[in-house]
Amino acid sequence: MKVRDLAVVRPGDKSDNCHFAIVANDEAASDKLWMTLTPDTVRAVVGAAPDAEVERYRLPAINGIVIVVHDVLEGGAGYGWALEKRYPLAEQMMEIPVP
Amino acid sequence: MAERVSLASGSAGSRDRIDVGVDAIEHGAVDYIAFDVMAEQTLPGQVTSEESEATGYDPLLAQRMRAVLPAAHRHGVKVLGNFGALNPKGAAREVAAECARLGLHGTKVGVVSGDDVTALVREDFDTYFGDQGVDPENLLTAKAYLGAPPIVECLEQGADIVVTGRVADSSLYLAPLMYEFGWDETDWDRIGAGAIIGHVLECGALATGANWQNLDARPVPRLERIGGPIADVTKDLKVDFRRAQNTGGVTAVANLSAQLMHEINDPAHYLTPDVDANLLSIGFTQRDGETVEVRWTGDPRGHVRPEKLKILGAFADGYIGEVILFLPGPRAAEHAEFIEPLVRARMEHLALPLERLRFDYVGSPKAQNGVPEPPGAGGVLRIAAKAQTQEAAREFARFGEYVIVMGPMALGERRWSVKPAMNVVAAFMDRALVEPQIETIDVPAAAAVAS
Repeated sequence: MKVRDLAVVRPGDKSDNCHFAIVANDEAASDKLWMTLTPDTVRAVVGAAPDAEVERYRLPAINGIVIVVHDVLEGGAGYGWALEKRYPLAEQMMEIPVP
Repeated sequence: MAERVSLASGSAGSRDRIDVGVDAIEHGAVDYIAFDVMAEQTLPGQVTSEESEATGYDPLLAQRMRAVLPAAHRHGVKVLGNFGALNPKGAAREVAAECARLGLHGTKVGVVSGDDVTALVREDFDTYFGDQGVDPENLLTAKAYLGAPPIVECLEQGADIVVTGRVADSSLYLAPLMYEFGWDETDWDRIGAGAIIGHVLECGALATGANWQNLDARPVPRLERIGGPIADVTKDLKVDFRRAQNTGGVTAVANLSAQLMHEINDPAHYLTPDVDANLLSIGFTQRDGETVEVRWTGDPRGHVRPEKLKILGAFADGYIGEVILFLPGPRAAEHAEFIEPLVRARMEHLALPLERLRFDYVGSPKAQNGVPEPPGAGGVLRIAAKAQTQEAAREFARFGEYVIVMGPMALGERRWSVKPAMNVVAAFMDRALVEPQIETIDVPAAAAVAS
């Protein structure tokens, strides 16, 4: 099973930070994803430095998880240096295996 | 006092489709429509783009107003928008002029300004940006996010249209609720609820099916004409989300949930100028195929507003030259590999003062084990260079574009551009220092309008 079987991951950004809005199919799926998408796993998937700050939050009323990875967008979309990479990162996150 | 107010989202960003707003007004049975045309990253564009340089505000304003205002006038829908960018009063004058041209005499246009805090920042630069690695000499402009109260004041003065500079997106939706229901601005639970509703509405069709369908999953009907979200809000905060009739898209729990979480940090403290809102207090239930009902959890929906306002400083940071090379054919990846060292060598030869150079190849992979990609395969090589001077960025871009002619035999289409680069940096300012201002402009009666 992969993340994409349990949820939809939609990316966003604020400056250099990449935001992921994760809508799980139900409460059980949300629990599994919370266990799977640890800061270390997320950092590895998005190619963040090992000490990059990762914020994680749960929204139980909507089976939601918010993950924010700091300093991974090389200036962000407004700056115009790096190519857009939020969506490829969300796709990669949806490919993560869930035990 | 109103029993129920219906709010529509008319746009999410300055280039959003104009017909979304028109559809909401014509087929949405709404009382208010709000337009967000100013994302965080829109600011650099509006500081620097040739289109808006002369005016300092949304370049699509007149076109959008021509499409929206006659319908709004006919249906009695009030229009709000952060159309002002760097020049809210200029934008409001343009809206008033457009009303006159359209024959909408007697319309009142409210303006909220006072968001410009550039002078305050210059006086006390280190307090705001001292530790953020930016130079005061490069500061172009600084704007504070204002809240709902000055918008409410415009509505109280009878404004049919309210034009603002930088305000929190959610405030554009919260303000009509405060005005119509007579909410006190310190009624944190209700203000929190209004800010949460505004947050769900603020990104337009992102809440109703845009940015959702995958190639093989989650089909969204009629993507070519997705309607934006509409919230029906009663005075005791029963809330339904829907779309205008005859629009594409979906009104569904999952999409609204994704929007609730869009670009947030701690959901328990969604900070706006109006309230510290609690996004954990809301859930959604699908009522029918076209309606989603809000299910409040019973937790407090808001807490006392932050003492400081968020401000954004825009800092000039040189120029970025960009070259896009379309590499047709089965050996695109190899051509990209060939071009990179060639460009690097040429830049060294010219000794251009470039700070950084980068190559991004997107396309068919390199042939594996001698098996070439099929005909029709190809790729795009994007080369970017950062320089402090426009001349250096331009020299780079000129060569980068021409490399496809004088380099390998792989001639394809190519494009190049040079744009100012800008750092947009957030900081916080004491609320007491920021003074929102309002005024209203009366669109003159027909007889008084000059030709």
